[in-house]
Amino acid sequence: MALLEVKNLRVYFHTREGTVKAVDDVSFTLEKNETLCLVGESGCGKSVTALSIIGLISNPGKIESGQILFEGVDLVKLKKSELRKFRGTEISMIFQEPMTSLNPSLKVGFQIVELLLEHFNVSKTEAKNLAVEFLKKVKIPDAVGTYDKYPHQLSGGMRQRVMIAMALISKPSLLIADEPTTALDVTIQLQILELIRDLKNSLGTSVILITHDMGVVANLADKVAVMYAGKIVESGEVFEVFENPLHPYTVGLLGSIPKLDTPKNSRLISIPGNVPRLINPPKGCRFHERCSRKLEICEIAEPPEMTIGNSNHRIACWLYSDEFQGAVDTDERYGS
Amino acid sequence: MKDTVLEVKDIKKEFVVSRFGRKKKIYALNGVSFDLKKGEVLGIVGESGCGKTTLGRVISKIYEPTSGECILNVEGKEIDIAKLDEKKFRSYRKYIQMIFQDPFASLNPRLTIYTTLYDVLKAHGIGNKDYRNELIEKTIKEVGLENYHLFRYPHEFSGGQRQRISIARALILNPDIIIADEPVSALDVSIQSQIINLMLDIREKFGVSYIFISHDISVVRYISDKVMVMYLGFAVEKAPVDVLFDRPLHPYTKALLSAILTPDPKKERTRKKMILQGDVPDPSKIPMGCVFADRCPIKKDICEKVKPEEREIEKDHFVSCHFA
Repeated sequence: MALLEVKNLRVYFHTREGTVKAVDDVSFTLEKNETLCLVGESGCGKSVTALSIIGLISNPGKIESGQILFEGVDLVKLKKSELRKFRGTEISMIFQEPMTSLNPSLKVGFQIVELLLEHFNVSKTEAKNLAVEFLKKVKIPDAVGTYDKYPHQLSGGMRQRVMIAMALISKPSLLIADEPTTALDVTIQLQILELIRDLKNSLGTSVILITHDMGVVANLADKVAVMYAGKIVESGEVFEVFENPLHPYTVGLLGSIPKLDTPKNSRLISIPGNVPRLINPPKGCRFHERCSRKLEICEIAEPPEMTIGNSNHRIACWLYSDEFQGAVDTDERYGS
Repeated sequence: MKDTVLEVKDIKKEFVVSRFGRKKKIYALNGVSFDLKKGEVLGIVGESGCGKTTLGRVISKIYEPTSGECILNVEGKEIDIAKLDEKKFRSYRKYIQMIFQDPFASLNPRLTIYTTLYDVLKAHGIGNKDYRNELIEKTIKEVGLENYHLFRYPHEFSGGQRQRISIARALILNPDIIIADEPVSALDVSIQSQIINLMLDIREKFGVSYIFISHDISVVRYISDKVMVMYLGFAVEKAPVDVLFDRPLHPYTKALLSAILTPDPKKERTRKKMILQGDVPDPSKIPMGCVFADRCPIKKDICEKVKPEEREIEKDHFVSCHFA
């Protein structure tokens, strides 16, 4: 059985201006000890997907339909009190900005111990020892000293290490990391990514990593799901998707990053236009207004999700549908 | 030199901050020098707190430098703008324009785009009404927007479009230098490349020089002709872009380049990475020796005692390290 199975998840936000369909029919699975990266631009629904797994969608947001099966249990159907048994123990989360997710008026050691006392049957001394042990595990140089420090006394990288220690101390089966390195400097980002990889391997945790950075995906992911305007447009094994990107959005996203071997004086591939507003998303394929290979059908009907070859490379795009294969050929002939 | 538009010599900037009544000096820039030629793009990279933003703001006179020279070469004259007071500098401001990181905060929300651009021309006393209108219409097309956008307010635009407006506001004065402080960092990747392409088009067309400040090294490599690497208020390495990426000499530069993630899983997982220990030190206590000593993997005794001099290793390639 897969560790996590998300099926046809829809999360809508009912605002005064209208209903924002932030996540619209998203499905994916995550196996044990696997890293899945959800990648996309701002407003694509990647964070909302993660927040719904851990049950943190609040008003005006609502999970409209769908299932989130965690080891067979549907988290959507659970009561708040039942969900607490999973949150912080079986499923942990770390956020982008470690300063705002730690309590500034409490020592970091106390914040870790508090979590242990809440969820586990341990004495205060045991909890403290365990906390120091985990601060060492996340490679904080002076673990005992850090235990008695306040968050503002730590640098951004150290704070994120504390967050990771806190998230992993309960040995969860699933760690959700929402842009964990975005607020950090590049040399620190590399330290944190290495740390997440090491801990994942030594503790056997599965990871869902949310990011906008294709470099982070390339560094850490086993599987990747590319999101656009509330939908997964392409997903598969990371090597397969990067080597053979099929959806025009994925192709554009990969092409718009300057690489070390991009020739100088060439221009980057850019995707024209902007991310659509989700109150009134475009009809048909949500990407059609910005797509360079648009077909007539794309404006009318939503593309079906299909599997390419015999791998689990999945894509939602009319270009790869059998019915319209002919249209692609002509299109390509004119394009080249 | 004739085609040098800006020459910065040994610029220093200290801030005095007071915390609970205790005053403390922050050494943001500790003697940075470089020159910028016509049509050239200088990339400045470094991590947070390295002084790259302060440097941009000192050159555009948002901050007054503590010491040093900043020689602007325009209209056949050389002027040290570091010494000018606010009033005297005003007539030179049109030569140096700035684009900021946050396009939401850098446009006045109560003014239409037309008014924003018109006010710029009015403040600098350029042309009469008809000429100004003509210039506004021309400039807005130059940045990829249309006339009907002129009478809208900033909140009606997306982040990428706002950054286009910021570029128009800088470009309309026909500046010699545009200082761009993290101009694409707040934008989504697909929009980033639109703005970078626009900036390159503008350079080609108008021959403007850029000082491009960013923490994103792959963007800097792509857009720059030469690069300056900063650490704790010092320029630790300066070189033409290809030289710097082929033959980085300073251990910090090497670590910084090694931290760039390649968007290709095969290459990314097999390449050799250099992972630095520790964090950037406190800028109120500048170490006696090399600023990078406490994180440096090749540190020797001398590094903690003697500050390394800047040396020219090959043509135009400068580095401050005892062992480079």
